[in-house]
Amino acid sequence: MFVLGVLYAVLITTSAEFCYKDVENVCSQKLTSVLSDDLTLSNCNAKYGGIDSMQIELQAYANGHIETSFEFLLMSTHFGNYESNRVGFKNLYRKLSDSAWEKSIDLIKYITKRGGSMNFNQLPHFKKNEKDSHVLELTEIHSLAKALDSQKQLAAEGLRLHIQAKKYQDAAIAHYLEEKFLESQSDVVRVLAGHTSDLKNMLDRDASVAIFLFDEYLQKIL
Amino acid sequence: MKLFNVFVLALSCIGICSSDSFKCTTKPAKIPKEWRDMVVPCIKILEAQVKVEIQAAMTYLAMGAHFARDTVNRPGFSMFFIKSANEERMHAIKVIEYLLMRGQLTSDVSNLLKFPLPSIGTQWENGVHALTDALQLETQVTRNIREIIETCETPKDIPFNDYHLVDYLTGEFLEEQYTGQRDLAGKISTLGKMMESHGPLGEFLYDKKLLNGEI
Repeated sequence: MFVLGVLYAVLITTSAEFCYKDVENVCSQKLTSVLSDDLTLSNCNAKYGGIDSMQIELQAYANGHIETSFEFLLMSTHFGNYESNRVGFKNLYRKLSDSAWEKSIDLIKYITKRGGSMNFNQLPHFKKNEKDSHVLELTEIHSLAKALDSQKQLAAEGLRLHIQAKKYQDAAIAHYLEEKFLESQSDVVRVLAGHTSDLKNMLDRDASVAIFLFDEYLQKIL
Repeated sequence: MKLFNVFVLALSCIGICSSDSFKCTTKPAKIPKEWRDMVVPCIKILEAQVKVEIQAAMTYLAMGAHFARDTVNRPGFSMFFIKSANEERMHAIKVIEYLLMRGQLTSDVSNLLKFPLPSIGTQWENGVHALTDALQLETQVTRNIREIIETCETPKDIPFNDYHLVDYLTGEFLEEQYTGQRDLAGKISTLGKMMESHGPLGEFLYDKKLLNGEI
């Protein structure tokens, strides 16, 4: 038992002093013999906890937000053309696009804060239905449905990452996800579900007037 | 079982009946098309510019991510490049807004951007290298804008000078391009001189100046 305790103590001290050892190694060499490669101090980084195991997932999530951001931008564009002419819907999707873009940047900053790096080629984890994934010229009710699905997918992925963070015992990542993603995601999902429900109930015989009024309402609340 | 069948039938009837009165689409209005006077080559090249601007935004974002790394640790550079990424995204949105104003983008908006976006560089040796890449990127964007101006001023085989777009691109876009390029060139000059003699120390000092908005 004592031996185990000592072993454990030694392990803790060594793992806590990797960077210090690197520095000692570099500093003990003669100045002339130090090559620039030796100066990297590879253990002097910000990594701790589960970031190594979570990095790829977080990169994929950031890329998922970037892709979603551009999809919303194109949806917004569609409602901005003179034939659709729905400024409320246009503003709604532009706002969602801006928010996804900002979140991706925030997540990239977080990955680097934890000693990781960003890989923009890491494909998003969630797979979309190939057939209709990139059709963005939609009617008002279809667009709300698509927006709701897409936000729910991001929210579900957020929950999955939270479980992963707990699995790798990294409460810092879990907390970050809760604060920056999970909280606002439940808000946005609820708002979009509410919009869909409202519009659905009004789409009967006089859909064009209902959509016009609903669009005006969207313009006012945004 | 019979009762159940009747129940299912009744339910499906309600489903069908309600979908009859549920209108998802509205009939399009009759709008004359003549007011949309942009010509095809000009529309095409302006639409392509959206991709160019987004690609620039993504490149800047990659630079921002690189300089935010713990082992690189240049928060000033990171902030500068992320700000540039946001600006490039706004340029793309400005181009889209212009096309919408002129009655374009009524179909195939999905073609404006292709997913997944093409891959981009992720490593830069130092601040000077990144700023130099940025200057080259901006120079290319300026060339693209000039090309759009030329195409829209004198489109091939079509006698239509798009005065308004040409004026907009010249006044708004080129103005920003040239000012931005001068700013980058100046930064490369100052930082380049400091790094020539002081290497990382020069870069460190310059980074803090950038971070505090002093340069």
